[in-house]
Amino acid sequence: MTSPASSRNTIYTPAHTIIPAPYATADTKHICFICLQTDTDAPNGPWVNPCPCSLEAHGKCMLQWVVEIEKQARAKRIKPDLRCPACRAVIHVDEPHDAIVALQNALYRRYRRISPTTLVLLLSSCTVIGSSWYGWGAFAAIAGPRAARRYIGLDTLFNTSRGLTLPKVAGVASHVTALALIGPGLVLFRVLPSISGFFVLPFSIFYGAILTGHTELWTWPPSPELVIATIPTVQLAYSYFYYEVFGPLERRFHRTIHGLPQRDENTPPGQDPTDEPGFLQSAIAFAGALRATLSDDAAVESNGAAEPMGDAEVEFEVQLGGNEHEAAEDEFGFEHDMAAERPAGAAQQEPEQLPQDENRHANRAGPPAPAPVPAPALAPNALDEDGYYHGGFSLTTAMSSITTALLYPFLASATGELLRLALPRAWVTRPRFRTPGGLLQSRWGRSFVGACLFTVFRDAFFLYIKYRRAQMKTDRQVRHIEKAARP
Amino acid sequence: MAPGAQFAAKRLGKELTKISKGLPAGIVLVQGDNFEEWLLDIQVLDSNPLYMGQTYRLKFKFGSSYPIEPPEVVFVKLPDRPIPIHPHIYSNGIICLDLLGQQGWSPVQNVESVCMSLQSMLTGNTKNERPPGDEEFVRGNRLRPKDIDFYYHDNNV
Repeated sequence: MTSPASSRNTIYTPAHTIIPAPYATADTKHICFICLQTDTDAPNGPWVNPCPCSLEAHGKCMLQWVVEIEKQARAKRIKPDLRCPACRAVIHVDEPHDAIVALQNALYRRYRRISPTTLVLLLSSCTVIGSSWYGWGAFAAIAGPRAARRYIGLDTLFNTSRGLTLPKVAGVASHVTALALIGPGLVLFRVLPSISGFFVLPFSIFYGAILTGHTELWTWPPSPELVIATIPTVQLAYSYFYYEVFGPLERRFHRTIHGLPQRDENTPPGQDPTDEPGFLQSAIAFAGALRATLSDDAAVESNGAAEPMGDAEVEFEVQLGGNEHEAAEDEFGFEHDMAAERPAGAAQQEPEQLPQDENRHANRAGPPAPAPVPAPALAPNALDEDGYYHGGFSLTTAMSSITTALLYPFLASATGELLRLALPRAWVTRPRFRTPGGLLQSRWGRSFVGACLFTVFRDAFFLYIKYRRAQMKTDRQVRHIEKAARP
Repeated sequence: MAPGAQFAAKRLGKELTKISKGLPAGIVLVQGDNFEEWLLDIQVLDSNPLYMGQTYRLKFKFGSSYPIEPPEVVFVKLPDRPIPIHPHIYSNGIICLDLLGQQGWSPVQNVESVCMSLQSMLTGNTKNERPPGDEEFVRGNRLRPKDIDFYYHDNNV
């Protein structure tokens, strides 16, 4: 007697249930225990004795009851339990067997079992096909459609006299799979640059070492594989260079734009007693420091070996980070960047702050730093001393971020095409009788250089924008209205 | 009368015929002039101090698929007809009896047997109490008795 009455109420169980038995009286032979009609009332009804005891009923009445029992069982998703109310003997219902109905039942049951799996398979194959299509497009943009066809191997698959063989089909399939990974790879490196970089950087160095140790020993132009293998290193170097040279400048612009007091570059923000990082913030800061250490752009997709050009874009796209958030900056009033100059161990994350939160910043600038902490390796995007987390979780920000990642190959390719048009013909045309003399003479090489240039120009452009914005903030004034002009 | 109600009416007509020939002691048909709602009075005949000398009013409501589906049975409160005190009877007259739920009901039951079961249930009770959470239930319940999700677990009371 402990159940709460509000939802499930205690009920009385059949201890006191009286089971009446409507025996047939002397003047009647049958009585239906359901409708209580006797054979004098309804002489035509077929009678049934459903159980060993004396209860009997009309077949029709019994079936009505059976339907009700089945309905209740269906509602509770249990097997109908049909028993004689008096003697509790099981009551059997015989149904004529129909082969077609039985077959349909069996098939439908089986179909219902496998349909979720089928749906998942359908959806996932659509995803794979769509993402292969994207990968093919990206590959073709970077290295040209002919190289893409050659890479997949479709031409050799159908053009040889020996016809289809299993290894050839498997080769094509693996290359298609590799293409399918390009899109997700780009997005992944965009969203989780540090984690991805953590796995990819050692791999790329190892792969590069193997290539160098083999046939690729400092030939010029380098092979696509070697270029891909060097990308993480190049990016790390670029990030570090950018941070060292332009980082202080950019941070100063940033503080100016947001009306924050300028402060000593070496002050570790974590020393501030007003910093009370939550667990999540600490975790984010740690991830940021890791990302900074590995360079947020260091990335070669793990299928890079099998898929030379397709991956070349992966590494560059990440550089698109940070700056595009400038657009959202006005809306949200803060910068989304990561405080990467913080030591990973003491990683501390301040909550995001609105620009008008000036008092706190003024106080914070006060306490001097006990000791300058050397910055770990840095990413160009990690600009913000105030530990603004890069991203937040705004849907529109995430979507534009993903879109940027997926557009990157095409931007790189377009820059490559611009190079082809802009540069002297001899530089960008493959010589007919000699081996190619430079990266720019192949399309993939132009795309690669294009991606590099694009990244550099973009960084420069956004730095310039920051500079202009900082200037605008500095030079602005409240409009003065002459007394005489007032209404 | 709804088409299905013909079935219930035939059956109730039969029950009425049998009732008119006599009911067990302590059970009286107060009103049975239609086939939708009957009123009966019951008494506990032994000397159980909780119920001695009292008469209780029962209201039966029959659906069109009676007796395939159970009737709705509640105690009704009138100046001279209290709601019996029992750990399975709420103070608004709603009865927790598995016989009246879909699991416990079977078409072999009838008005007379339900009344006898309720008599027996009262006779056997010694606890001067309402179900747990009675006040809350009476205040909050808007469901028909047959839609309430009662929890059948006790057969000792």
